[in-house]
Amino acid sequence: MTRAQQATVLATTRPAWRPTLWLLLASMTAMAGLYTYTQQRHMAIPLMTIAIGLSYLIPYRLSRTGPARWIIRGCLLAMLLLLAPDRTQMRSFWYVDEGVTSLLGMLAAAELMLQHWLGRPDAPRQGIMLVLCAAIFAASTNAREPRLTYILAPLFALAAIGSLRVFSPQQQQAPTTAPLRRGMKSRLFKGAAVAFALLVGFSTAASIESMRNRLNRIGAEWLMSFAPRTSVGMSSSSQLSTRFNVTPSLTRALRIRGTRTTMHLRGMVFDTYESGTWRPKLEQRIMESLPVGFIPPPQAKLFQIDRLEDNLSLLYLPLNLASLQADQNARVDVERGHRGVITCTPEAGDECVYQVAPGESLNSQGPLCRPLTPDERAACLLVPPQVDPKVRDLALPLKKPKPLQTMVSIAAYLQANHSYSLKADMGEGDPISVFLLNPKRPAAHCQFFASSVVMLLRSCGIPARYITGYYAHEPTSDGGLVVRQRDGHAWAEAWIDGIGWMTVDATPGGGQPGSREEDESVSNWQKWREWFSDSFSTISNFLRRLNWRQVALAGGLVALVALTVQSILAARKRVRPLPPTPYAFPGDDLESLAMDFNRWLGRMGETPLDSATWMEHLTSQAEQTSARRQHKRTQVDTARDFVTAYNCTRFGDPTDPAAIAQLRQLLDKMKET
Amino acid sequence: MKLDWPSFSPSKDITVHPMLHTGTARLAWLILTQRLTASGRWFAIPTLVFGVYGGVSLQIQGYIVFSYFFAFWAIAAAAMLALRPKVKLNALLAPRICAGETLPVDVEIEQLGRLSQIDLVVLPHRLPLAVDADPDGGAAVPSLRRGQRTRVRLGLKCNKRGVYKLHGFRVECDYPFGLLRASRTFDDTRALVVYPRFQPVGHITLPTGRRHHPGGVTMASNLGESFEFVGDREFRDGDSTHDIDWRATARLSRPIVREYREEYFMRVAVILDTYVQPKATPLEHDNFERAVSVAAGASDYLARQDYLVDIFAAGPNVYHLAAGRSLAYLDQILDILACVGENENEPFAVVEPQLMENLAQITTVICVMLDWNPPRRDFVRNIVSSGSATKVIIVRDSPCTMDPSMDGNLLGRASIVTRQQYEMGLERL
Repeated sequence: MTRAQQATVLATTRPAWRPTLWLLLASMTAMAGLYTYTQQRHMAIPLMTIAIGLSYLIPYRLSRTGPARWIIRGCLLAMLLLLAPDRTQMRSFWYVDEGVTSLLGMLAAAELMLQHWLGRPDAPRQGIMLVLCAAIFAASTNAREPRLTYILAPLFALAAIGSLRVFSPQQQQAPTTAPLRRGMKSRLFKGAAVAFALLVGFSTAASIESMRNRLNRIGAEWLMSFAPRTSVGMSSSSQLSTRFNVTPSLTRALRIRGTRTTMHLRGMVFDTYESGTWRPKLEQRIMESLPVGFIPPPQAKLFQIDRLEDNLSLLYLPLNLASLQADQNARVDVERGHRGVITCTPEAGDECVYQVAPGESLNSQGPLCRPLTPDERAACLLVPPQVDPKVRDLALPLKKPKPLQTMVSIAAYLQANHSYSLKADMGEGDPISVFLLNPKRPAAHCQFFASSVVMLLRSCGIPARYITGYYAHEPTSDGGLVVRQRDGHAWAEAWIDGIGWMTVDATPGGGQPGSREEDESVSNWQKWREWFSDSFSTISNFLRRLNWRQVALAGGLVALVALTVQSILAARKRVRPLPPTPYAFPGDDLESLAMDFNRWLGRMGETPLDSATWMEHLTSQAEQTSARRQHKRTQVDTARDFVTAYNCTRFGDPTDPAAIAQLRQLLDKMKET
Repeated sequence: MKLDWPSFSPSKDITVHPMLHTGTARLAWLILTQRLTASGRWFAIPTLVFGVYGGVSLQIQGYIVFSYFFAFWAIAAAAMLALRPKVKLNALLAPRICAGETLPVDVEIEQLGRLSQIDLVVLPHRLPLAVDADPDGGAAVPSLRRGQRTRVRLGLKCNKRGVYKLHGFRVECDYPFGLLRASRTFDDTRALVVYPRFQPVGHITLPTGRRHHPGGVTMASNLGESFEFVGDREFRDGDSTHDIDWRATARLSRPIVREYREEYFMRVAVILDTYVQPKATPLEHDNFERAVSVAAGASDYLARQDYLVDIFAAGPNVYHLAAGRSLAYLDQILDILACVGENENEPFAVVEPQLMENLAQITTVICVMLDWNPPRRDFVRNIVSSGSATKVIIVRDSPCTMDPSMDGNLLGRASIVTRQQYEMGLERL
């Protein structure tokens, strides 16, 4: 026997129940990686490694059927979760949470150990085991001493390549005219290829490491290019520009539950206008803490607003707000003064959710409608010098005896003389003056209409302020509203003596969010994505509140339920009656008849083959027997008659005593002859 | 109909799979099954794991492991381009086989390249979905030197009857790591006829005896089937002088002639019902396949006995078989049955006129029906009224539309073949 043939024999002498030693090497490498990653804290890792090693020595395997494997799996899962190290002791500087990666690695290791002991006796599932090894090793590459990874990584790659050779067709000898020969030369070439691959791998890894910072920066820039271009929320100061929301974003900003009433939700409030920009900026405002919110009046009808995304942490509220309740753990700040801008900063990881009770009517004056002090009134009446004096001339004809009528008259004037457009012509000079005084009556967007209303009202002696926020109008299937970034809007509020603050939206009807032609309808795909995102965040919020022990308990309960269900199914399977057969099983009488007939056939030298029925055998015998052997033909024909009669009884009424007696008689007669 | 997922087998022609509509899907599946080995597919998973996890950030050391895995892929790809097998191939296989059997294929391979190649595998190229290669991954070829030849045996397991197109064979090499395959295809298009699987029928009771068949003796295929000598008798006017037994004449001093009896054969028509309603249940499709098998079994029985099948009608198509027992009409019938398909329209209106023209010489008509209903009853009644005897075999699990026993005078005793009876074996029809 040549060395090559010896090698082939050795290769095929591996017991079928045992995975290859390459896989053992891969498993050991992965476990070593995990053990070093967890800083030798977890004693379960060496125990599982020993269990994996033992599976190569002991041929016993757990049954793949029945509940045993699930019980063991559940116990392992619960044990690992209960014994998981305290997360507070973990290193926080790792890139990915160390607790998560080490737990995932441990779970994969437990499953790998189980797969070693569960493997089919004839073919261990080496592919799955290798994937589990990879998962363990990947978990342990989170961060550690790089030198160790440089040692373990090539070993793991080599073991992975080696362990997968079992899938090669060459491993099974084909029925060829010549034996498979794998000479020394081919082995050398293969070894050289492996060595070259390891060298290339090392060079690649070293090259990447040397350029790591630069590559990280390029990657970050590349990822940033996918980030949404429109930020969600309001600007801290509102500047009139040529475009407004030209590419409306469908990103959700707010989710409102408990009401479907359309409303203006104010976020930022401005009273100072300077050269096309409304101020002050949010950062320049004086905020004070609001620990308990506004107390709701009795019998107030509350609705809930979930702030999904916002760049300024603003709370968006209706002007007629009666009460506000935010999360107890959240920090709520309210601006001192008449503007009443409110911000809310929830705890890290929590969503900002707040309850709102509106007033009885749109004109109800709540905490956001504080009366003006003399200074505030002066600020709300100020028409800056850069606004053309002709604006005042334009406003005076619109002034009516009552402030409310003046307000209506100004809004009507704007809506009648200007149309809506997402693009506005800024012109030269003050944008509001250009917009109002241009004889062509240019079209513009809501910022221009709101600013113009404020300036015209102030020119008529009515205090007014400029508001940015959202116009909530899009209903959802659960009876609420959803507010998207495309619903961003600007309007004005005017102080009417005797009433208080009132909303003035002078933007023509077609320009309000929800009625613009430019607003895209929301696709089903977008709705499905939002539903999935909501469900995921609900579940993750729920799980985040659990500690390890609760998770272990929940896992144990799930495993228990699964086991119970499986046991019930197994029990039902056991007691399930056999499907009805088209014929009864032969009784003792028929069975003895059949045995006797077989013996008779044997004496006649007609023992049928196992693959042929009596009738097939006898028919072939009849065809082969020549006509001259009359005696033999008679025997065969008699036997065929017996078989026909037997089959009629067997598949007809096998308990018929008369038929059985007749068969017995026929057989006795055959024996005699 | 139940639709299976595309196979991972490298020998299958997945381009015809109905699930792979688009060119991109086909290309992806071809790469997955024909370019990547089974080892390669498994190796790709950890590669992706490390690639994706390491790609999150280079702060994670997954990129180191990924680099090694990537290096193995890169060298395997380079070897795939360089080590394309240089061999010559010749395959020997039979053109016909029964469904359920494995067709042996002997493949002779000759090394043409200077370098002796190892880790070669030969396997069928683009096999139809109903035919499996055995072994699935192909047969390993020993290492060969230049000019050296070897013979490898493959199997083609034919699961379903039909006429299939074989596209030849492929020789592949996955050296050095067994991840990617370099291949050379040998296009050798040929047809493979897969007969329906059938069980021999023990006996078919046909409702009439033999009829004279002119020329039957000359078509007899077995030895001993010739003019049968009956005896001598005295010469009568009109007897041929060729038949005079001169020895007996001399002994008796009066002319004695030898008397012979000519051979008689029965001429049979077999009609297969192929009507399966649109949106039929799997059971009805199964009934049809069983009917095809019963027709094949019946034809086989007739071929073994002294019967001639002159006409074979499958659905709306009528075939006139230029048949004598020496002309292997069974093969012709099995060829037809191999590719007979279901019909969504009742075929009898088309078949009947063609059949009636030829019924004058037919003694018995065997009808393999899928149901018993008014169109079929009328069809059988017309055959009977033309003078031919009829044997009706109904292949069906559920009750027929009409009770066949109500037409006993027309059918005699109709044979109903259920699935259980068929699986137990058809001893007698």
